[in-house]
Amino acid sequence: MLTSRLRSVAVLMTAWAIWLSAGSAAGPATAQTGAAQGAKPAAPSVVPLPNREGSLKFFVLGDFGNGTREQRELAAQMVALRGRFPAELVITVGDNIYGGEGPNDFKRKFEDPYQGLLGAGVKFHASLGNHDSRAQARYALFNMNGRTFYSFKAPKQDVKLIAIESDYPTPKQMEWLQGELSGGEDWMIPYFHHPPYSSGKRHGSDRDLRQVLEPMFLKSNVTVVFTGHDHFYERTKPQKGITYFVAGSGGQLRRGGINRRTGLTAVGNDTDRVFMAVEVDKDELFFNAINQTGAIIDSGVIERRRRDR
Amino acid sequence: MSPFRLSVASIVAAMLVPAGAPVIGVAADQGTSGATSERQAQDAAFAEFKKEVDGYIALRRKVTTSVPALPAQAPPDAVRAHEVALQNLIVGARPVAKEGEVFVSRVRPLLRGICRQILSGPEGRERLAQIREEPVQPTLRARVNERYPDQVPLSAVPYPLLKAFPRLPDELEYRFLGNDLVLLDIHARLIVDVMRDALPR
Repeated sequence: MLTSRLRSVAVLMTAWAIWLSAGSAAGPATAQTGAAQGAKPAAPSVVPLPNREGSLKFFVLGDFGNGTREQRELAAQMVALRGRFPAELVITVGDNIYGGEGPNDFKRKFEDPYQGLLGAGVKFHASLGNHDSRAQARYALFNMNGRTFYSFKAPKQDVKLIAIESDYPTPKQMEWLQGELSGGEDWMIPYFHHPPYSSGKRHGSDRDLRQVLEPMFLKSNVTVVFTGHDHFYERTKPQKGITYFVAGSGGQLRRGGINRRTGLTAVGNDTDRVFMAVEVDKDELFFNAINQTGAIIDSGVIERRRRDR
Repeated sequence: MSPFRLSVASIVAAMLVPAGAPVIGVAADQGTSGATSERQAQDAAFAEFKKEVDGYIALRRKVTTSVPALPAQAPPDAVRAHEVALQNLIVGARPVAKEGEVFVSRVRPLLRGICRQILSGPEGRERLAQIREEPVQPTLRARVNERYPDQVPLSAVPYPLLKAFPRLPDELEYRFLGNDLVLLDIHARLIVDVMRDALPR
């Protein structure tokens, strides 16, 4: 029996109310933003999500590495939030570095904006997008260890995170994925660039990927999938019990990029840069989508699917 | 397992049927001796392609033994230096390599047939758009023994194509540059061979 429980509206309203009542306490954030110069440190002074002790806490970021002021603003919010929500890792859904990929590009488009996280020991685990070269798989701070697709166990909770290379989905990779998804972890969380479900006017759903991935996800106990590519934020209505997130506005943004008539969208935002804060505690996954001013634009909780018997 | 695992039925059908026609149904109807000999000819073509790929890999492995393996984690400039070192050795070992030496003449129509079949119709147009997502200057052409241009992101290659194409060893992959199919040495970022006009116009 598949179960899914969303309390988005209530949580959203509560978070907004708290945030608004708290104002935009910005003082400490200025110091925390480090090299993210020019960013508005208007992070919410409240701690979102349940923020429970012992839970797995991480961020999701996509389509970000363009070296712009907007990227740095959002990065500053991640750093500020981390002071109250101790995320241990960041998973990226691709397009990590746009344009040139020389040493200075990695510094300007990645190391400088996220210095406040990197310096605090937060580990990034990247997946590759269509703008990323394969060389990124060897970049130490992306923790891919030379692999373009890989998985790892989260440091807390019974969670396996699975990075897929959706730009070049070979049959060999799909066979590997089949094996990964047959594990017994409570949570199997795939993340990759091209969205199987998306309301993007520019890209939209990648039906080929959906055709090959969805049956594997359904056979396993995949409950949520994180993707990017379309430059906005979208949470789909559950598709056969699985919720798909598009988190593709970590630096890039396509204003008006969401086609509101697909019927897929539970919540969509194509006006702000957005990252996600995620928390897994036993059978529940909590999420916040947070914009460049620190406002929570979507939130909720999803109960994990059980493996089909 | 051999790196080549071909979907013979789909390849046969891709060659024999008009774009958009149902592949499996047509292939299943080819019960004649003509179809059998056609299949044998195609098997032979793919075997020839495999032989050329194997030959390239053997040469590559032989000449690059002097290059220390790159650690799993390495800075961007070290990765680039490693690529260039591999490029120099491989190009030095096959200085007069020409188009069509790996994509041999007998396999080219088969690969074009696969592209035509999978990239036609409404679904095919979506795939084609995905492949062509990054604009490539018309003056930019893939050339054998040259570095894949750094300014062009690698094209996506949709799953149905990768499933239908012959499998490659881990050192190689298929990419598109403009309308051309490129056989790319991944770790050297080197163009091993080019097949012109692989994509339908």
